[in-house]
Amino acid sequence: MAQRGERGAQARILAWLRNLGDALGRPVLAVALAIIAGAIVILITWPDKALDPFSNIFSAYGALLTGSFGTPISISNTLVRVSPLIFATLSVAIAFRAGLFNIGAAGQMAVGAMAADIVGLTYIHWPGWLLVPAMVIASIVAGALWGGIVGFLKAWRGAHEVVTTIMLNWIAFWGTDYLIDGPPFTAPLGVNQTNPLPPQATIPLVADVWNKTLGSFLPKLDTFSYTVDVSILVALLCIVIYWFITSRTTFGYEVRVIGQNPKAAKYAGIPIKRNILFVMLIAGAFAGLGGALRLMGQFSYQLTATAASTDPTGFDAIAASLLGRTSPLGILFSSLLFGGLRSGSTNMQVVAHVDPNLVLILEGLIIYFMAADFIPVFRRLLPPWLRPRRRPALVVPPDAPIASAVNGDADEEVQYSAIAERQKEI
Amino acid sequence: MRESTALATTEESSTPLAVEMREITRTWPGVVANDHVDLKVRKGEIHALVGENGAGKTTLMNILYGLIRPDSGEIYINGELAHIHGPRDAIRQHIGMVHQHFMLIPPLTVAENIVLGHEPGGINALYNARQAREVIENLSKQYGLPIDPDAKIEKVSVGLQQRVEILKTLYRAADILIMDEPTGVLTPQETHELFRVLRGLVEKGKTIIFITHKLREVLELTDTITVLRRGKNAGELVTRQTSQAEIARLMVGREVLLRVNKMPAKPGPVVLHVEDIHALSDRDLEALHGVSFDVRAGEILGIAGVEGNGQSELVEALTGMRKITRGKLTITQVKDGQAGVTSDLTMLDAREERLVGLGHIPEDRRGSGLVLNDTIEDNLILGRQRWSQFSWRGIVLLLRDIAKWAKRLITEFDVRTSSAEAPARSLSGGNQQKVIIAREFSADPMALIASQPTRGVDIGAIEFIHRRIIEQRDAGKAVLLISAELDEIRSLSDRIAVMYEGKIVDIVSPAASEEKLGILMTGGHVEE
Repeated sequence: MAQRGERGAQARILAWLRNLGDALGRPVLAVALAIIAGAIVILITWPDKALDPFSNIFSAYGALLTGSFGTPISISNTLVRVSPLIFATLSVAIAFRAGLFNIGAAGQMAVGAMAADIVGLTYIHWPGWLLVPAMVIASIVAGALWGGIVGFLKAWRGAHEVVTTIMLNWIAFWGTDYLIDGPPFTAPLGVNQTNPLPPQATIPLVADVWNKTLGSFLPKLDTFSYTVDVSILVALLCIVIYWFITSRTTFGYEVRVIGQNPKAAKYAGIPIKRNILFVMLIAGAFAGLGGALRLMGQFSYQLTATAASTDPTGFDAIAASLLGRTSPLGILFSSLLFGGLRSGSTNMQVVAHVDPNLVLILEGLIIYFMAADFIPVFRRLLPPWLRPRRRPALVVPPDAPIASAVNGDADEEVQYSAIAERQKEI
Repeated sequence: MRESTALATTEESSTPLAVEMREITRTWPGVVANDHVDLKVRKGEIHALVGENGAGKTTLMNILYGLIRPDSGEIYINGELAHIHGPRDAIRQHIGMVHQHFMLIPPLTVAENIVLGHEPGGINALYNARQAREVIENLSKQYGLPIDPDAKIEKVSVGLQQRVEILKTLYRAADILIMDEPTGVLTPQETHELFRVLRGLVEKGKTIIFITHKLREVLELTDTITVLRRGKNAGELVTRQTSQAEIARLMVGREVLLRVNKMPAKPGPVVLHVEDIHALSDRDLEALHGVSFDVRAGEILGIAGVEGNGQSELVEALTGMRKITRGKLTITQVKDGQAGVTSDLTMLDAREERLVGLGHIPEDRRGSGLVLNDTIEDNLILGRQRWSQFSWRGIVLLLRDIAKWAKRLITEFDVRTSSAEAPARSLSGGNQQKVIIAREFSADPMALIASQPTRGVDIGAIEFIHRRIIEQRDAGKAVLLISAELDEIRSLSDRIAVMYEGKIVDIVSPAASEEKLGILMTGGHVEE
């Protein structure tokens, strides 16, 4: 209580540093520990016998890095993976804010893609300016509906969201397959995929947009190498929308209260059920949009059998959301990290002969170290003078009489300080 | 029963101590849960540990059972210094604990629950159901605790579940049994049965520590008593030589007599009208059996009572957090002594009640009054986030206005913090309470419901909070004050309603004697 005034500025800087440490410490430590543990795995398996095991570690991580962010083309390839991951991560993260564990981003993406595909293939003669928005809206509605079912069941029926999201995932996956396997949308050759979307129902590549605008006087980009589509820009926009919803609206505020302290939400009269429904609607909408934009942005613009059920994006999103701690910037960086791991793994295999599944191990380790939270352990290892001090517990603060002197009369002050003295003696 | 009492008291000096805790101190951030607490329990007695909620009873027992480590202090078991670092050590010292909330696994059988962790045959053998059943049948015969070992826990009554917990401690060879508020979940018949069992155990040489705040049980069952108040020893008593009134006085305490300077009340028209309110407890039993009272503008009505007599349920019913099953609740807007619009609150939720002018200081400030991880700013608009001064059309937060508002309140209510953006967690208990009070008082409510407003708060903050409450009264608000501190009730209230077992038994003047209040609070009658 007495820590005001004399140490104000210093305390504020310390508090700021501590906040920064609190925000970054755990994710950075988790990633670092995962890299070390992954190195041990490489060491043990020693995949490239041409090198000694230790060099193998460096060649593997080096190849992973160049394969994901080393060249403009590899960055573009990474972004192709990052874009849907951002949408899925936003979906998981906003549910996390309300204390809900949304395992269903994968299913929500699948129904989003399915809805967009149905609209795109049904209204095949519509012009692009009408068809693309219609598909986008259809995917948002479908995803929201898929998430909304979970929210409704959670809020009004008490069904646990982990169970319902997992089950809805499979309904979505098999629903997509149903669409693929039979008419009217299946491709004629019996190859277990739908017809490709008509050209006007797709969204352009970033390289295309560049070539048509700045590329008219700057060097043009090769559209075969730079395959990232404009959905990455929409993803960034969605991060901004997410930021706005979570930190600038009363809805975001209420969701935070529900997630942090449901009893306080009840005390404040926050409509818990309605907010849970809304948060799952939004979560589903993000994922549904992500699923649709991937379909509309990437060659071959068609749904293929079992693609939805084997796609790791919806589950990577859980890891990314945990690592990013549901903050907008955290979501961006962790999506880049996990997208990078995935897209760099091929290069790692080619160059360093390390099995690409190492990135799955790394991903698992990151979640593990995030969940385990080793910071207290490290803190205990610090010498005593570096350890953060425990706040002293106060029964009678030494400045209590001063407090009453500020806005009280002198007699009372004497009386209260006398009581304080007596309490100290007891 | 009475024989064993006589035994315990006549041989008091010669009976060895089963448990002695010396100078136990344990602090949480901002709170001293145990402040140099001593506890002496003699072998073969039932010892009551009494005190209000938050007095530190459970903390002390959790320390004895090894669930919490004390900051300082020593524990002696049977006269020898014991190092208890965890429940395992406690079990080794033959200490057993029956928690308030049972630690049982519902889908498993009685027998499986009892032997769990110490299965007959050791950890390397397969689970031997027959052997486990035999062991338990012997045990229940030996102590006269009949039970079906094959029944599933989820199928048996709460009273039997408690019996399973007791058997579990006996199976682990406990000689010292800690019972943490065992009667809180029981029906009167089950309570009666429990007392019979406990007396039987004492006859078999066990020692029992019985935590409670129900004084009638203390008098009925126990031999000796330790009273805790605000984490400190308030008294040690021999049950035969004391009375309900004396224990009540020690529990609520009189050594800190806060004198509050206030003018006589000028009560205006009725603001809060409570008529025959009924409500259920969390266990769906009726907790309020028809509560009626009025609170007028410009007065403080205090509600006195031993905790657990329906005060919490009453507050929740009044503030829209608990459904009112029967009865009526209205609020009347009073301006300049003139009654205005009356609105019915009976069916409204907490948000709507705030809109018509109800302020609420909740009893559990960390549990429900604050979002500890959120900033002070955010906490200062909790429950009012959709009001027009804080958000545009109730949708977009007006952060700049909120920051300005927070800054004003932090100065006005003297909240000691480094920044308005610090998390509420970083504040001391008194300052956390100031945040709640700032929020609830500054919204200009017509009626204020303050529940345990100074619990766990330091002296300086208590004085500040009291003055603010009186300011509200003098500004013509209706104030309902619920407090476990009798002194607080007596010094602040203009009238005192005494609550006992879900009913208002009497409304008296604050000049009424402590003895009279004590008797009313514990269900007695006062002859005028």
